[in-house]
Amino acid sequence: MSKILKIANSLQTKLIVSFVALIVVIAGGTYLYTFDQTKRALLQGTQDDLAQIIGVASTQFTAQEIDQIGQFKPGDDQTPAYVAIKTKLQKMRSASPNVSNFYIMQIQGDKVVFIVDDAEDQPALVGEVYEKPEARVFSANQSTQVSENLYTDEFGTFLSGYAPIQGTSGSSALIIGADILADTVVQRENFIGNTIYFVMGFAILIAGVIIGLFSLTIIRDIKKLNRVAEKISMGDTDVAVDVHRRDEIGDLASSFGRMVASLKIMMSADSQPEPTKPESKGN
Amino acid sequence: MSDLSERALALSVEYLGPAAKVFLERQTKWHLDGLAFEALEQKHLADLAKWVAISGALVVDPAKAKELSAKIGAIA
Repeated sequence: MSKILKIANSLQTKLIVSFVALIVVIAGGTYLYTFDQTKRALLQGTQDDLAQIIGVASTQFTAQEIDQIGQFKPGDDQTPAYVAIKTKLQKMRSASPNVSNFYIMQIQGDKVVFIVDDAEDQPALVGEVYEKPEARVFSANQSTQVSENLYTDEFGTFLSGYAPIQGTSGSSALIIGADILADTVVQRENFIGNTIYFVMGFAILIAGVIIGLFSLTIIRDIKKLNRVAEKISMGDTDVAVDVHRRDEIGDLASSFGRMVASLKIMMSADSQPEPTKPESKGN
Repeated sequence: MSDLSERALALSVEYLGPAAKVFLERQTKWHLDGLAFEALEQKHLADLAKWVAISGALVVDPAKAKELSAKIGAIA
């Protein structure tokens, strides 16, 4: 127990703990700030991409196709015209790897109904009501809209973009929508987060090694001085202060060396013979 | 105390502390024909410097003793 207390109270432990705490606080704060800022920038970038994609997609229909889409009724899902439009949406999806789904909707009063959905598996049918549309869908008959954040509806969680199909406007405008899966956005965030985490971890490791070596040299020299002091305190003046530094510990070692030299001189008897050299004239 | 003695003592105190005077007195007494440290003259400096290097190495780091010896030898 006393050994543990001694280790806990040692200067080395205190130095290392202080430095590690300092690094963790700085690195943690930087990580949180950077990650948050990067997440925002990433979301903004994804929103811009989506706005661009949906803006381009909204201009890809001919007047004839727009007329056909406007006339689709429930039960038209297998007609050649419907299949052609659906295939066109699927081709647009193939050209936009991050988009999971393209669809065309129409605002009917206070409702939003699906007209064409490019999903192969359980697509929304013609005339199917969109139960939980984002409020901004209703603004998409005038201009391009993109979700402010990830949005969850009956189909899942997405970042969605909506734009009026060129040539249609007003309350019965056709709107094209595109979804990016939340997983895709989260994966991008995680990649950035992990990269920052890795860089921070590496920086902490390097800083830790440097601080460790730095503190070890300090502790080593303090221990040397301590050993010399212990020997002198026990009456052994046959010691040498072997510490060579240019910092405060070096100053301490110099003072210590002076003190040891004085003690040695004062403790040696006047009668004790001085060292001689062959060419000296003798004592 | 001669001016030279005072200057040698001032230099030595930096390396040997308060016992520097005792140390220098012993060097002049034992190795400079019983010369009193207070009577140190220019002609004694070379010998004193030599003995500071030798005897000093017994109480301080040899490199430090050599450094002090060079400083004493350089007193003009």
